[in-house]
Amino acid sequence: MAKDRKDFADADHLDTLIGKEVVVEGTLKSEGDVQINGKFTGKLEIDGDLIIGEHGEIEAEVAGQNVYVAGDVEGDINAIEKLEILETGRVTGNVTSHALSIEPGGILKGSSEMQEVSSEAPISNPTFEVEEDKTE
Amino acid sequence: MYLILVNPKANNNRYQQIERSFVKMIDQLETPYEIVLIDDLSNVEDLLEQNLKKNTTAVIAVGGNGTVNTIIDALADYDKLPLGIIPLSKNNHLADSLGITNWKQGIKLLGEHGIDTLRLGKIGEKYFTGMLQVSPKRAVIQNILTKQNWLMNFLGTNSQNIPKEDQLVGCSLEIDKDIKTQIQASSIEIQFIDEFNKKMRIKTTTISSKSPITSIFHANKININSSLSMPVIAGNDVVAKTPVEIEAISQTLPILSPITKKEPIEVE
Repeated sequence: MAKDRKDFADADHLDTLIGKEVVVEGTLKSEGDVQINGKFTGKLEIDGDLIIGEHGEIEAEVAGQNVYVAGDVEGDINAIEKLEILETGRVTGNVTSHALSIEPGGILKGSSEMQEVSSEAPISNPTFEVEEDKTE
Repeated sequence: MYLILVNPKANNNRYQQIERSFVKMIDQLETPYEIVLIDDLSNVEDLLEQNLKKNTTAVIAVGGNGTVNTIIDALADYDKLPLGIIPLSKNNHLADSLGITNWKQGIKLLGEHGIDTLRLGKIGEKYFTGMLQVSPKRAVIQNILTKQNWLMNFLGTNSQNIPKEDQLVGCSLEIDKDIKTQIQASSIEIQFIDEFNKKMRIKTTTISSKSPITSIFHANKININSSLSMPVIAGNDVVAKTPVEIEAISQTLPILSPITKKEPIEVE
């Protein structure tokens, strides 16, 4: 599920949280969501979502479901769904995703490739109907 | 039938003071029981072997953290024989996590209870459940006391006299052989919980600009090395010292638990 900024501080449901100034190296595999606010070198194979916080510094090949970058990434990123580079985010590497968004201020130095939607994946048919206002 | 293993030395011979009321209350239960006094915790395995009967439905640990930990370690060899806890000390970590705060509550629970399962962890040949704490703070104090014994005796000391940033111990953690991290730890907690594929939850706290920074990892195995030898604590008992390898295993231990009110084991 796509995340909002407010979710970034919510450590309750994270499989892994690497705190600010903590230095980690190796291959991190995770079935759940991961947030990195420290330094990571190696390889990230995340089945859930990956959040790279403002102080996060990554030197790694990155794979995740949704990837949110608010820090620095050096390496290629493969996001199965969405890659979001936030205003403080900086990516140096090639990125592949279904959807890519770069906020003003966010930097991508590298090529971007949009993955095609596989024929097996359900295709949503856009409508122009406006949902009713649900204000209480 | 309940096999009730009592450590009469626990909490300054507390059992002696309450024995009459204890037995009277247990007599009111409908379940038959046998009380066996533990002369020495190192004999618990033998006591279990000698006193377990075919109709034993649970083993009840009566004592403090040390008693409970020893009985858990011994019970791990028996297949799915439930553990009950009657705490004799105020801070019995496992009893607390189940919401059992005193011996009377522990006995009441024998009459009416549910069964929970606890995941087991292992250090060497010893089994644990609940939570382990690796204590940099205690290591630092011990180190200071060793170096400056005369001074500390004169001044008196406690951890609050040591600035937080000085309570850090350099540690290297190897997590599942896949990742390595070097941290200046102010606390490390390891919880054996049943989520994320039966992995341990490892919570480390470091201090940055005097504020605590938390990291969380999940792993089946962790190796901890440290610049100072740190105690690994279960409840209040030191069960190992760093360098240490701690492993989450697939084995579980059934435990008698309250049916209605149960505080979940704290994860934060």
